[in-house]
Amino acid sequence: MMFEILSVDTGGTMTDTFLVDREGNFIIGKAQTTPDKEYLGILNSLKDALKSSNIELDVRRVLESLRAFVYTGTIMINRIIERKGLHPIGLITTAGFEDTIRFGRGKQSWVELPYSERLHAVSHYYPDPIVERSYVRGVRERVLTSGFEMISLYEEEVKEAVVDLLEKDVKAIAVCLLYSFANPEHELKVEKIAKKVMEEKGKEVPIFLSHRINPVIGELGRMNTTVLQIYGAEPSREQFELIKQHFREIGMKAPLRILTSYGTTVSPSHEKLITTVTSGPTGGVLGCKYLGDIYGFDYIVGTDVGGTSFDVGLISAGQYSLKTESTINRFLVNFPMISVDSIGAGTGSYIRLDPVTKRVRIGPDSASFRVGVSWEDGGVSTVTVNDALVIMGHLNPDYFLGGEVKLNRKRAEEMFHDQIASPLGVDVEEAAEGCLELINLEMRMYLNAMIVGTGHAPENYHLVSYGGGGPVLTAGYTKGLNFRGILVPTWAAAFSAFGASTADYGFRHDLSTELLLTPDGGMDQIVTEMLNHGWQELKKLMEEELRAEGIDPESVLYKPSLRMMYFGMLDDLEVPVVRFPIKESYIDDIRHTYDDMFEKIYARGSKSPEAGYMISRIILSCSMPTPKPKLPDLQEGESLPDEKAYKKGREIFCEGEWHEAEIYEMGYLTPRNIIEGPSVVEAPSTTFVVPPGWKARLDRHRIFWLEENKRG
Amino acid sequence: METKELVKDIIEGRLSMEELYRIISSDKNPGRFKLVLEVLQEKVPWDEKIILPLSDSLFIVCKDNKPIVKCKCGFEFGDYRVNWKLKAKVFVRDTLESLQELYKPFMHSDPNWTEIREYYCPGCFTLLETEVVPPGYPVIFDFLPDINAFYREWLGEEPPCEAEFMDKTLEYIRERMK
Repeated sequence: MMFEILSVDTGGTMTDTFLVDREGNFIIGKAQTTPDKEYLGILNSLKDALKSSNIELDVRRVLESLRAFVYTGTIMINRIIERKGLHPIGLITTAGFEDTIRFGRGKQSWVELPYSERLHAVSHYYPDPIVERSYVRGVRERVLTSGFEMISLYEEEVKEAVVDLLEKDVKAIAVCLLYSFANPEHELKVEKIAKKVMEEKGKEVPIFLSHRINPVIGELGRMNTTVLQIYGAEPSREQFELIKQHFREIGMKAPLRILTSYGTTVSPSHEKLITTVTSGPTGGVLGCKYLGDIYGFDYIVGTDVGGTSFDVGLISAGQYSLKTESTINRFLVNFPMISVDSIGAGTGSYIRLDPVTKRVRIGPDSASFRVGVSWEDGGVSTVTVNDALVIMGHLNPDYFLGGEVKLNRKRAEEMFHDQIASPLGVDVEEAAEGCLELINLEMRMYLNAMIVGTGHAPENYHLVSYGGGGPVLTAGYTKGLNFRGILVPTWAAAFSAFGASTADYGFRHDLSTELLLTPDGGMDQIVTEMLNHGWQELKKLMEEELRAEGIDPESVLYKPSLRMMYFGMLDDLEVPVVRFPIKESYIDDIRHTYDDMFEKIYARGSKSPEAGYMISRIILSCSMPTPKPKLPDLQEGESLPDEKAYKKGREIFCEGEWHEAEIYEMGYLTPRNIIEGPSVVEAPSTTFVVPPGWKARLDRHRIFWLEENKRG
Repeated sequence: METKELVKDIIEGRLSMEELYRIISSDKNPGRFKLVLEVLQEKVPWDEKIILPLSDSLFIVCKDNKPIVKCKCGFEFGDYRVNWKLKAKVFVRDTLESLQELYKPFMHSDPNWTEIREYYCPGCFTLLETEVVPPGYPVIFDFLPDINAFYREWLGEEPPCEAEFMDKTLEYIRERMK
């Protein structure tokens, strides 16, 4: 076996690896994350992958043959959450806006809270500031949103501010002035003055300008992004270099690439490294897109059931949607991220009764990797969804994580009885199924609301279910929604890592703008010039960065695009542009492309071109040829599974009664095998439940198609 | 379950906002009130039993089988059904000078429109309460709880001492004016 791609996901507790060979065969490994020396955890996980697949291969041999090494993980976000970044940072901003970063538009006091807590002012609180108020200095100046300089920069105040910050021993200075994306002159001037002051004082610290990190409208998002880049991303660079170095030493030749939140991969020396901070859920959506391209689906909903949360990402008209505003540990930022929404419901979610009303409540907190009370060593004393699944026989207590973690069903039953069933006056199984139905209902309603909210119906979508807990609950949370098809990949547990490995090597730059295309076409010529100018500027910036990363800018493919909307609307869509510079006549093509996209993503009736169009962002992406994994493509065989696949049967509880279920070992199932419910398909990393009245078929790409038998 | 130590930490403000948030957002603890009373009782230097806390410094306590208002310093305001403010020391800020002791010029209200009344404990001179009201506005009776109903219907037990639920402030003033 010659492995080509290694994809790593270092989570807070476990490091997952996903190794693919030339034919699309892959193996999966798991090991404990080692926060101080990440490369150890990655190495252990890699060894585990080889060991659990009985592959007698030296790690060095594996690394030498690799063509790609993709990283996703929590290194950077943990640094921010634990407040272990570069400190202290000084911030220079427009006078009068010194408190912007602290106020966080008020929104930062509640933005990541669950809905129930947003309603109560008493639960609102602000995140601990990354830049304390005394490290923020205002300088008088004003540039208008058009880029026009209304008040020139008070240079003396800049000097004072820099001297003051240097005296406070700041490690870096961030500069974020109003509308610097429209006209960066003042920020550049601040940089120049600051450098001069530093020279005079003989003390040098790096300066970061917001228009370079994130030239996007919205000063809070731009400010936070710049500050987090300094605080979280800059120190993490070293960590990534260290990982790279260690793997170099033991034979790896492939470059280390890190997944960005908008779906590409970059090298650790990328200037805007902060865009890799929350790439976790991105991988899954990319994986769905990849499946969509292979199967020819344009509408896909990706559902990731983890221990803690249920993440949903939509692909409509062949595109995943990018959101332009999101949060990092409560700080509002405005660089693009693949839109993934989640609720706090996973297999590790705690189940509790409200002591007063006896209402069953699931989550939002969870036992996460500590499973539930059925794992005694986990030290959990509140029952979880996992416990309910063990009680109902859906999870095999002797085969959790391939038997590495032994679960105690009796303990789960006893504690479920005491905490839930007995106070409600019902049997343990009945209570367990009730709780399971509740979490399924929550997920189902959430899924439906998300899809219906975009103007579509579940009937238009194929659903992909992944994450370690996805396949156990798939049937439950899709029941009655009539998806066009339900796909459960056999590698569900490592699907996010798989998705990450499908990402292009490249990055993008966004530039905010406000260009109006009037209905009479009178602005077309000016807009054409402005667009070409914007792309040109972005390309210059990109070439500079590529050279710094040691890449020949000529070898790179540039893809221009823009974000636009009907004038007066609030949400923009991203419109691809074939090449630039464009001619004036091409503006019509842009308008038509946008009309078509709008119609596919929303509805024909809500189109409103009468008032013209507004272009809100000029975007340039670049990508380089990237090795990508292939899906396995196997010969189809019998519909009856091979004898080897059958394991000892057991009873599972479904719809109020016990059923004698067939149990299969996933690894021995072959394409075209049909699994009739009630059945359970087990693998070391996941469990796939086919309830009575459902069946699943394994296809050539080792993906199960789950469907409910037609009734009557 | 919540321990007395935890309740003590809440009252003393020793918890971080994250820890506090976890408590706020989780289920209500039916036994919390009892623990709060225990902790408060240990904090005050006198022995009368606290029935209900009114503020950081004021408590409704049982004295001679009557519910009265008592400051943490021991000063007694009398029957809890009479507004305790009648017995407090008052300082009214209704001039520019007095307002500007607290605020910068132009950052305060117009004394012709509003005044600030500060109520102090005659025993320890702790600032107990502040009212910001138009001049001439009647003294506000902040909180008159129905102790009998609270104990019987909410806690499900007999109140430590009983008094018919009514506002006796006017009656008290009338008697004084005779």
